[in-house]
Amino acid sequence: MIKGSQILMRALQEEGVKVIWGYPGGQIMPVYDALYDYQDVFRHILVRHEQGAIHAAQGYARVSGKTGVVLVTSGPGATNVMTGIADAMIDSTPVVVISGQVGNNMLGTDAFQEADVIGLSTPVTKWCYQIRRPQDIAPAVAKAFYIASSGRPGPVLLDITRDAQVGLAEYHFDLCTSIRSYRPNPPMPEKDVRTAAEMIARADRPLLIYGQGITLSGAEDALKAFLDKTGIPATSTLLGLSALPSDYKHFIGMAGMHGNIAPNVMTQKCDLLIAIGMRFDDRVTCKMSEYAKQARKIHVDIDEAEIGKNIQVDLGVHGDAKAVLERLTELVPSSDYTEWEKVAENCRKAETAEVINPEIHPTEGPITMGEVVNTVADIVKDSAIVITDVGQNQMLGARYSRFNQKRSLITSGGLGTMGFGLPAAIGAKVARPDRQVCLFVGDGGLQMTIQELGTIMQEGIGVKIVVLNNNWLGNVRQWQQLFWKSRYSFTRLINPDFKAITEAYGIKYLRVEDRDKLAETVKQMIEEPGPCLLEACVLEEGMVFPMIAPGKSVDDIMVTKDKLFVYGE
Amino acid sequence: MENEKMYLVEVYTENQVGLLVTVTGIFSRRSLNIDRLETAPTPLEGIHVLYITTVTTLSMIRKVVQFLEKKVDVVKAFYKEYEGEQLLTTPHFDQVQLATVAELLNIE
Repeated sequence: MIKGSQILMRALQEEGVKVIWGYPGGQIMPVYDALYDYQDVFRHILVRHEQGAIHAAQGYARVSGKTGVVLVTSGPGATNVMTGIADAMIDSTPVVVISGQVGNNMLGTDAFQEADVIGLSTPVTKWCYQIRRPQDIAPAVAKAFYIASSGRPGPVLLDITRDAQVGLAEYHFDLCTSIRSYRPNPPMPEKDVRTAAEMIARADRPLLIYGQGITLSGAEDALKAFLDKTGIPATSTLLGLSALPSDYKHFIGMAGMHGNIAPNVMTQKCDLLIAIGMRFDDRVTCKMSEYAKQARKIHVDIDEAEIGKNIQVDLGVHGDAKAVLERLTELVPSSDYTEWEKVAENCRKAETAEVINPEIHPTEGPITMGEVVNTVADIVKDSAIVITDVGQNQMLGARYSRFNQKRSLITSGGLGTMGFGLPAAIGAKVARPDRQVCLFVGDGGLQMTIQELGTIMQEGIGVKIVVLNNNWLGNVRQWQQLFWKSRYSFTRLINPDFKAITEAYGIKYLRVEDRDKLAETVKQMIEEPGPCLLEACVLEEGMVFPMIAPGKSVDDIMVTKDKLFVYGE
Repeated sequence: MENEKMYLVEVYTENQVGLLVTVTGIFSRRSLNIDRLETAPTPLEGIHVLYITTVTTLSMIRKVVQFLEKKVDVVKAFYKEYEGEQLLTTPHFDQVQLATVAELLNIE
């Protein structure tokens, strides 16, 4: 018989865990003691705050496709990961969180560092479970990893009481491959796929919109094969970006509030909308009642509850993106939509002239955020893993980064968690030390999890941090300017000396203010072998355009603060 | 506007601690008031059923059933219009539903 904490170590090993993100504390100490003997099996990375652990695990999971693992103590340790769990839930990220819990006889007594972690995590996890006996640890771990990674992935929390950690039991581990009440893998919906193929064959102006489901399903090649054969123009949601290379001929850009003009205009002109592995988020659809109402719609998703949730569709296809796309490709005829794709070309030309060029190739004034992002893309030749925080840095990071490899954009899409960026970048770099990992973060978001510079220092993690410093909470400031009569209520930031902070952590610091120094400074950052923070002092009142104002239809597109886009002008 | 009616939702679940919170949370998050609620073990081993009545629209109740079925420990959920004055104090099981659930669980 061995201790529950040792059972946990062996079960995690069986699950192939390599990296654990954690922070010790009172009620998880038996597990940490067991971990002391497993240092050659697991790389445990000590973060500076539990929120850092969960976001790092998310970054790790999304770049690698493996389940991220987080280890925290009871009470505040567990409550500090809730934001990241909610983020992982809405962005379908496989993570397993293990929290310590007080002893069985202390449960419900308001004991020191006791919180109702199951009650707290129930609404934001795919599954959560409290383990009170050592013999229940191995099966619960197996079940947790199976649930987190199967079907539509998501976060799972295991709350392990002290009794379960220190009690003795026989070790016996079986991989979990099915749960009787849970059906994550729908059978091939052959009939619906045939109907979809017929609808596609009849369409004159089809448009395909895909989301992270392509990445999660490993359907990147299947999507490309489908588009190669059909010639249908394709747009991505924010989280779908990098599933297709940015320069792919049928890729017409990102959809949504700050997306490219072409997909948003074509959404309102298409006669068939094929949505795959996406969930019609309101940042994609904008005013839902106006969204593509002229078009017939097909929605392919592995999560049946997403079909018809936000947007009524003519055909729901409940299935795995890869399997459905492969079958669809067999069934659809080759076709050519050159005429229809000209709409995209026209929109792209207008957007380049009116929005993109002024943002990435300005000739006077302070450097702009988009200019910095574009310069990084140039220097890394589109090959970096790009992490963003949330806000203007995120929208510009997504708009002006270019990708030539999959799983290369990691951002907090659904929850929009400021402070996500820095720890997620750490997680991404640990998952792929062979690739450049570049974070775009604002001066506001950086300070929400800035303590993780300590993790970078201790572990020597070579992330490149680009701080787009405008001394504002820029996205909220933009909204205040546009929709709240420039009443800048608490969005001005007085910032610390980022150079002093960075160097205090022993991290290389660079700063750029002038346009003619931008490329060489970015190059210097990229060539730095270890971690490096580049503070880019950017135009303070920079804006993100195009923008669809809240409540407006998806083709009601502002290209500047006082000009709407009109197709054909 | 879509008509609101009273619906009876019948949820077949694994008998797990905390499952009632999971199920009722799906209603409360969408501002649905639960009028009546009753739970009972079924003749299927380890499977409980929850009877819930609520007043809402057909499109919402369909979504609620999908959100319920998405939960790992929920085997199957059904809905139907409900006119009864009170919930069943002694459950009389719907044999068709039980057969469906048993088939999903591979119980003979």
